Amino acid sequence: MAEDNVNRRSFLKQTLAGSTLAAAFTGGYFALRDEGLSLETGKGEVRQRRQPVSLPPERPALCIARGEDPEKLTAAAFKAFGGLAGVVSSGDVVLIKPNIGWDRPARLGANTNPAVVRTIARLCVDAGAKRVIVSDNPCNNPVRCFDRSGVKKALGDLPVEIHIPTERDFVEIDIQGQVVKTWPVLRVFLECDRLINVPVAKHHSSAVLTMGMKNWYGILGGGRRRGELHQNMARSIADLAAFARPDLTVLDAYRVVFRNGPQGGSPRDTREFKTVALGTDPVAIDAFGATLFDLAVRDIPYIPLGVELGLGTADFDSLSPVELEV
Amino acid sequence: MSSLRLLRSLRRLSQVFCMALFIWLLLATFYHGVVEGDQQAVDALPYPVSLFLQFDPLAALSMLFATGTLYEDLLWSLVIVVLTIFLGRVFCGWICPLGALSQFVAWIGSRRLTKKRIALNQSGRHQRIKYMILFFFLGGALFGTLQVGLLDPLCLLIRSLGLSILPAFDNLLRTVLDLLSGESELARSGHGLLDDYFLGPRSLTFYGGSVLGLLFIGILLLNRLVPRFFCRFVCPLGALLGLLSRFSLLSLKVDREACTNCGLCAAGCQGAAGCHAAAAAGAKDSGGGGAAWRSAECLMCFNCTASCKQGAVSFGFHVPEEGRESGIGLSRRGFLASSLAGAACVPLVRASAGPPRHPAPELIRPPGACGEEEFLDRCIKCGQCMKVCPNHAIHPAALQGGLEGIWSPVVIPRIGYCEPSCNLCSQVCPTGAIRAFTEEDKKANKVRIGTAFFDVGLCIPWSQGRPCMVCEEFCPPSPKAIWFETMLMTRSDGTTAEIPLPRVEPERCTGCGGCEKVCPLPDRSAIRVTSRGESRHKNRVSPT
Repeated sequence: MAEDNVNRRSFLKQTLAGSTLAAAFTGGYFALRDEGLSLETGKGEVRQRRQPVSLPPERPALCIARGEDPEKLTAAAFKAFGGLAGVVSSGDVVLIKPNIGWDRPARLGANTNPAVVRTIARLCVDAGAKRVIVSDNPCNNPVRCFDRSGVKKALGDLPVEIHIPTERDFVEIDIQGQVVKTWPVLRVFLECDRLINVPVAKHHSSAVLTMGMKNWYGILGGGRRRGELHQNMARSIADLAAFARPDLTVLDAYRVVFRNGPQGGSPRDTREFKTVALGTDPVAIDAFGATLFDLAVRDIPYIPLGVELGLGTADFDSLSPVELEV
Repeated sequence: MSSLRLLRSLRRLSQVFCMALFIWLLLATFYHGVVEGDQQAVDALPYPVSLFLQFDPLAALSMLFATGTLYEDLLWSLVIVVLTIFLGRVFCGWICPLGALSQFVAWIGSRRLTKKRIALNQSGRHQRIKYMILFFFLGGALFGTLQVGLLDPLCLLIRSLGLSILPAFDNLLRTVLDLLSGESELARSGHGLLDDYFLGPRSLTFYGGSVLGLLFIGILLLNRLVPRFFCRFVCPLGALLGLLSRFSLLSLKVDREACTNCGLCAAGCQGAAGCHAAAAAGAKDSGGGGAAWRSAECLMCFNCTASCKQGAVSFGFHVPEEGRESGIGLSRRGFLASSLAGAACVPLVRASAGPPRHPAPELIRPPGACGEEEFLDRCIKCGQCMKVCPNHAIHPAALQGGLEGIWSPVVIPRIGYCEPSCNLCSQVCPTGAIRAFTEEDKKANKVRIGTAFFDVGLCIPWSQGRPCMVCEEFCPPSPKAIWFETMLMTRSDGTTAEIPLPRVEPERCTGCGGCEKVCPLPDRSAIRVTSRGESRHKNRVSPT
């Protein structure tokens, strides 16, 4: 009988140990899963807002280049601006944020022109940046968007990190906007020293036009939730523009989607404005962009909101833009 | 090492190699970027991911029965046919990855006594069940339903691993990474490795995936009862190869002078092919007996030759000796009964209201799919289209397509939409159930999978009078299929506002389901795709 008792005891012990282990594993598993789910409801971290670099007043605030070759246009605009001096110093981590929202080839104009992105990335590398990161969180399948837009290929031989976000590359941040509160924000955005916004100018069915300020939708995660912002489009664009504060904005208006935006989908939806505009004032760039589409500032609801928030001026002529033909 | 042992080692090497190749091809059934075409970039598929299925004679034969045509991509399977006619079931013993896995599961950690193993590997009558299953499926195929993919070992393995086991493993690894180190650099690089080399960055789960996994685990665990349980009793491909190997030239030979009738040759016999019985029958002191080596059951594993201490067992190309028999063990009556049962099942599974004769709004097939009846004659439910879809739009059906359509591919747009530029599912389909098409075919609306319709009781602008335009923004065609009609809406508090209300123009909709996927409502989408207007049914092409 003694042996039986030992067996029973050891049986109970083993059962207990086994179930504890199983419970711990299951509990741990679901605890982790819950953490993942809390993205929807949690209160995000508050980060100090980034401040754009201040440049000496003699530097031009807006350079507009027109011509045939997107690469030369971009290079010329930068040259007129005085290069990246004072913006990118050696050792900086630079994030270039193009608009690569859609699984569309370059000829359809739905994404930032690969030649423009490439030129800027090369200038950053030449300026001695420690890391040059190109990233965007697209609407379609991210890997496909980077491939089919031609951006990945265009950057092929440059020492540049192409960061295609996964769901783990976001940090829950309190954006402190009027309508944009806590959202998952791209980690590389939070960690960069210098930020260059490289939007493409396009028709947009709900925002009228998408240019620089609207491009910050692409630093947000949250999947399907991103659609909620569309119920208050203009205000959410202004909130994000106030949060993002780029050091430079380079507007690609070489080939634009002028209808059926923001995706286009047919060469018939595109037009070639053959223009690249570069500047430090994100509102002025968008105001200038609107004129390309023969629209006034009052037609684009988020531009006055940007002015209201003190992000820049809508009167881009007051910045005495440098205009050049290339 | 004697040449008898060498063969066993070579067989093991071959099994490991084939298993590794199989897993690698399964992982390579994945979006690999684009190659520049004449007009535009097209999706690349650099590796022959359907290789194993192309060598599957059962897929070829059953499709021949079902459709009356031999699909050219499956002609490679003739190689296996010829190989089997000459050498017996080497496919089962040397190549089949499910066979290797079964063998491994039966072997690992097994502490079974040799005596018990010898007893388990004796030939039995139940081995004929697999022939019945084979004829059942072939009978069904001849009368119009191709169900062989349910139990074909290659389809079973691709489906179970690709849609359930590998995703579960990915989930497990990621959970462990997070447990170990949370946000640390180690966890990040671990996730990065999984993103780049395993299943990709988006966590994959498939509709009903856990059922597939549990069934598969069950099939593997049966090997603990009887080694190679599935191969011996169930596998219809093994049965077909068994039939082909009836007169294989390579056959077992027992040196009657040397045999001591110890029975060790049966201890590792994978197919329960009666090698010991054959030895016993020929042994000096035995009474002779009637049992003999069954060529149709032998998997050519060469365990018997390697384990015989006397070196009495060998294989050679010789005219079969007296006493050898194919050992199929299925009478003419059994053959007829199982074939007829398979044929009779066709009207039975169709004796239920539903597709293809009744509307099936949720049966949205992948783009390029044949018409439903031909589709069911071609689809072998391997799941490769589901594995390759970069948006996880395609899932194994439950009953959306009726009993016949179980585990056939169905698009569930709320989980993933069909990317207009993509044609990977057609590239991987081994049987032409999904026909080749181009991006332009999709754009020109030649290939459409359904039509989207609003549920205005759910839609935010329609039901709450607040603007929302996510579906319209996402709608890919040019011009868009979703458009707005601005109307004066009265809200519950009596205020009025001009609200753009989204509408669908059905003629422009391709049924891609992007709208359904992105609708920002947290539960059911306010715009949903039905199969109406799918281009695969020419007589039903108009969505209106």
